Amino acid sequence: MSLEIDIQKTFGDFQLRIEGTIREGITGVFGPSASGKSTLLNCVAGFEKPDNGRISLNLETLFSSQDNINISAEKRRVGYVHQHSALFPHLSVRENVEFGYLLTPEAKRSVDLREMIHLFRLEKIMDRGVLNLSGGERQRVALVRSLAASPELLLLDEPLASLDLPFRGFILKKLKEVSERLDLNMVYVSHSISEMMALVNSIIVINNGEKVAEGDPALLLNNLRVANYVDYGSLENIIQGTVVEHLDDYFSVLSVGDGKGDARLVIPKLELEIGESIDVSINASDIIVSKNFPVAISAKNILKGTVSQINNSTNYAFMHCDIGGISLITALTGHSVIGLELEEGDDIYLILKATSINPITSV
Amino acid sequence: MFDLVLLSLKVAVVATSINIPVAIYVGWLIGRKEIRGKLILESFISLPLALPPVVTGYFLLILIGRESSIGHVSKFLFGTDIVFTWVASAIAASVVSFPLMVRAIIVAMQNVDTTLERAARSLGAGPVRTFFKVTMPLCYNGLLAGILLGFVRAMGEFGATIVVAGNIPGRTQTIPLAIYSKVQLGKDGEAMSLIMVSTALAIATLIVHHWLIIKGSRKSER
Repeated sequence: MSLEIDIQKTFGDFQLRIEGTIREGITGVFGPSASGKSTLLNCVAGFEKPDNGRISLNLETLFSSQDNINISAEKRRVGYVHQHSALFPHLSVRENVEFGYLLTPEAKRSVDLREMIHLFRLEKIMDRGVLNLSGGERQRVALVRSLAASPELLLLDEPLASLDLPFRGFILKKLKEVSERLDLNMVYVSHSISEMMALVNSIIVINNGEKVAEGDPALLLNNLRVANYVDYGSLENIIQGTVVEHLDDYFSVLSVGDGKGDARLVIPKLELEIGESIDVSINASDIIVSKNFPVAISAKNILKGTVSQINNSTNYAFMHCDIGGISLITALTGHSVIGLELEEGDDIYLILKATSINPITSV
Repeated sequence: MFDLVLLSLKVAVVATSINIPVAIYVGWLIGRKEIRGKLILESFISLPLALPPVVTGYFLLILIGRESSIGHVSKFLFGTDIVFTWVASAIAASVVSFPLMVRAIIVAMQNVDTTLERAARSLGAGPVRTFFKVTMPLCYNGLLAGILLGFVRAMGEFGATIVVAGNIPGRTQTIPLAIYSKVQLGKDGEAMSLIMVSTALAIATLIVHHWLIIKGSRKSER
């Protein structure tokens, strides 16, 4: 399974020149606005025609200027999820979702529509019109609609950019699940570092129509060539926890981790039963690092951990810390790393206010 | 008077029916496609709006008159001329009302969000299916408003009609031509009832037209 691209396209004085191979899983395309991300997706989807070059998906040529091939969008089997969901306003949720499903020949249907409707929790809104749906609902409908057409590749153009964090978390999780369950490759365009860190397996960074870096998503944290257009302040850790205790009227306790050396997080009271699970997000800049156990401190969470990796960028340093089997990324100034003489393998304490841990409501 | 109204309706319905498919196609071509010579095509189809209707009528006379090739073909096939028949009235009404209809349809089609059409394509719908399942339903109100505007213009056509179809009572005399004749003969009382019918029809049509436009713009607000 692979998508091979080697294309050029010029608009006025902007030129897109991209060459690369996209393989298994979810590939992120990261870059500032007007860097050529959407043009790249449009060329792969068949909405725009490159000036020259070649695009092939799973060895089938979708576009070749040399051989004069340009397969039309509807025959490419490439799904496309737009930032503003692009739902058909004159159709109900059900009719939207079934649009591509019914156009897909039975022999090519690889997706169980009912399973997708269930997975993205659309059952209750199936017979509603799409005009009154919330942003999160609209995007879930758009995703199921695309998946229902059994695409061989799914392109996602900033699908979460207009959603609030709670809705983003749910969709990110489901996207990952669907990619694995259906063995579906995705190309995910975004300029959100949190989404890249939480979702993608590999990343391509483009700027001014050219590829400037590619590889592991962690390169966003340490590659100086991309540092200028990463909004480091928005980096969120998204982790799953299980409610293990309600302390009093104000706080609950979550257990996070791999089930062995679980870490516990004290967070503002949750309206959930003991044993229920929930995703939470923690901004990397909200975590304070200490080499010694802090005493007489108001923060509710003091977590013991080990530094597993330090990535230095221009003004920031990102420290990956293992706590009870999960990894948290903390953002520090380069000055702090030097001042504390932090090195990989060091034991440290992470200090976190209860109110810095934000529950992500599931839908 | 009943026959008069019936003939006027017949002329306008036929003229509008001929225009609808052509106007939708041309509207799509101009409103939706990147084609060469768009400016020239757009100017050409709007020409009857700018020309005095009498001049349009004169051009039509050259095109479908007795000595024209179309006139000869008609004579050969049907044994009759086109000019000075209700068919000539319908052709004149069709040509004169076409630009109004097509301009409204162009605007309606330009208002359809292209990302919706792209979404349909990526879901496996070809261009024809996308047009009928997505573009058409979304510009339906604007389309209907354009058709209505064309219809009411066809009902009121006078200048081009009198040149190619004359003003023959019972054969080519439509409401506006009858009003003209009656006023000329000083029969203002008889003209008045026709004037009231025309005015009522125009007001009703414009109300429905504006209602459709408002409804259409509400629909596209999301």
